[in-house]
Amino acid sequence: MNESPPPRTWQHHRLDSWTALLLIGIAAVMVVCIGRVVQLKLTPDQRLASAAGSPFSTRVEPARRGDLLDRRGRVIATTTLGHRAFVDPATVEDLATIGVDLQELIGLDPVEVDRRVAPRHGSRFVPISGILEPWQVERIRRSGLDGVGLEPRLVRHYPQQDTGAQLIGLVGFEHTGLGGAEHLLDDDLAGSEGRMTYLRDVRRRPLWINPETFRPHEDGTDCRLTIDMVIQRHVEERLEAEIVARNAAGGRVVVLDPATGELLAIADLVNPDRTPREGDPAPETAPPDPRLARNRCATDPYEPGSTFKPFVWAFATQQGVVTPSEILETPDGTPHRTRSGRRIRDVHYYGRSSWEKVLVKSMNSGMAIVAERLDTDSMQSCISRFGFGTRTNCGLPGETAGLVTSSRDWSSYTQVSVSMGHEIGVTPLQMVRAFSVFATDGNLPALHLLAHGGHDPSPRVQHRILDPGIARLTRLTMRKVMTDGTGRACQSDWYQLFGKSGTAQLPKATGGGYHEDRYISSFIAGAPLESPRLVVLCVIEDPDKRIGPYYGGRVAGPVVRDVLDHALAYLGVTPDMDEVEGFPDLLAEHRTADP
Amino acid sequence: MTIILVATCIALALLGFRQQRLAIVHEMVDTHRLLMEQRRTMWTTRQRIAEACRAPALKEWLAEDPTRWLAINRPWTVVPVGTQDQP
Repeated sequence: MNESPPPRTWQHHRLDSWTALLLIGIAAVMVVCIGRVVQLKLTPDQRLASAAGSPFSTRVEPARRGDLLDRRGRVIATTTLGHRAFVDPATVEDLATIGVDLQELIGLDPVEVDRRVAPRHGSRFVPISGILEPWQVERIRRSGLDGVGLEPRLVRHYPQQDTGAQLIGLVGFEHTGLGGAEHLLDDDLAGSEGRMTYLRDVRRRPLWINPETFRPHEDGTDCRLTIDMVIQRHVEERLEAEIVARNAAGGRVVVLDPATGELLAIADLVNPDRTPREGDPAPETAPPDPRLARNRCATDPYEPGSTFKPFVWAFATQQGVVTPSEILETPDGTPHRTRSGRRIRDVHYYGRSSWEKVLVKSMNSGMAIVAERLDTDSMQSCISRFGFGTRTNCGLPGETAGLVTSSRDWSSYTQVSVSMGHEIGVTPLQMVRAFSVFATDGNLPALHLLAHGGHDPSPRVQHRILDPGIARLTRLTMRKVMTDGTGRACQSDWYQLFGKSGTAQLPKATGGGYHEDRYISSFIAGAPLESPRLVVLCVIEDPDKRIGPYYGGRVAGPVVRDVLDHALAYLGVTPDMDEVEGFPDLLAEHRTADP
Repeated sequence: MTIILVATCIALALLGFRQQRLAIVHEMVDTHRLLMEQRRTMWTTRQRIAEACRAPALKEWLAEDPTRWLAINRPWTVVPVGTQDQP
């Protein structure tokens, strides 16, 4: 039996009405709220919009600048991430006490902080420190100090300190290379920073990362130089000892592997403590950082003096205008007179001498006699074939091509002067490149500062410019320079060196000739004799004649000898002197200037 | 009533998915940040190693105890080919 539903009373109808009204009310409120949210979202009030800011945040990921490495992978320059503190004056609770607060927190100078913040109250970013120590960063992070933040910054470190400073260069505030290898290799070393944009909530937590705007960072590439920092350091220490002991104005040393053209060390030092001498040029304005100084091994030519003679000697011999055993009419006690009547003086007079003896004893008269047998074109060809007058293009910034007299200005005077290494300006890089011809049996190498197989695409090209037999003959003759000639004072106990000394008068800084009693002393040598591994050049500028000898063989020669002994032993080259066992002691303190 | 219940369940499920997605994004960002921090620690470590391996620093370390030098046994000593000890 069906029971009929209870009859709806007026109370039921009333309840239904109220319920319907309540639901309609709730729906209306919800519609209004949703409408307001939509309105705030789409067309917010200006004040609200400025307070809310953008709902997107961007996080920048710095790219690491590549390391500079030496030929054995030692780190020369590397990058870390540091932080510096900044203040946002708008959110600082009390600007009057912020300096004191930071002094208590991380030891900053409150006066300095106030000095920086005071004039920039309207700014939102006022840097107040340099790169902070890790403990300072940690303290700021933990303190929760309002209005104080940390800005990440890339920091470049040079673990080898000042060794090879000009060669390596430095980076600027924006971490771009400003000098030396840092500038040269900037494209490879610099990476590209990453960027991530994300939608954030009110607590700045990411809600969504847009994959289309995400760009990962790309670190820079590590670059390996041909420089060996152990050799470089030894070279600099030895050179510094010499220029200080000689009260010289400065000095330059280049160490080259002639077989590959790789530069193993390039040192350029000036003597800041030198006692000034009359006629010295006004000191140059020192660069703010030694790493910004120019590398004079590449930029500043000098007169090579007698170190230039082997090139003319070898070329003339190859041309057949003279043979090593030919006896020349060199003078015995009085200066030689050239065809044009010019008087050519020798340091010592030996009378009639062979062409070989001319080189061994460094006789200007003999060089002048043979120079007059060569025609102008031949002498100019000699200069250009050995690479003088053209840049080595090894990559060092600011390299110059040296100074070579033009054909138009070339005279018989020039012809004779050049044979003795005068009236020509060469850079140390050009000298070691040219001298390598004797070490490689006639090949002129291309110089390199970047290790092969890395970022240097240039091929290791060598040009044969001298007959191998002539190159070897010149090398053996220069061995006699060491045993019987001007190199006797700087013979090695370990290796058979072949080399040549040079002593040229110092040109006046103001122009107009040369100083009478001031010199550029230089020495260039290679070793071992049979299969040379290294060529080293040392140039000492203006050694003080009042202190000791000034000849190249006595001043620059010992530096070359010590550098060769050390570098060859370090490279594991077996000594080739008779009755010698073992190696030079690499840990022994370097010798100071010889008396 | 059924409609309300179904709508509520769907809404809750959607909210749950959203929350899960947010958690994943947070985790991703945290992981990314951690990676970057580790990377920076590695940079610093590389720099410290480079400082410690400077020639003067090594020289000083060797000077402290001469036996250290003997242990290194002159790595540049030339051993003629064919005379090395066979394993």
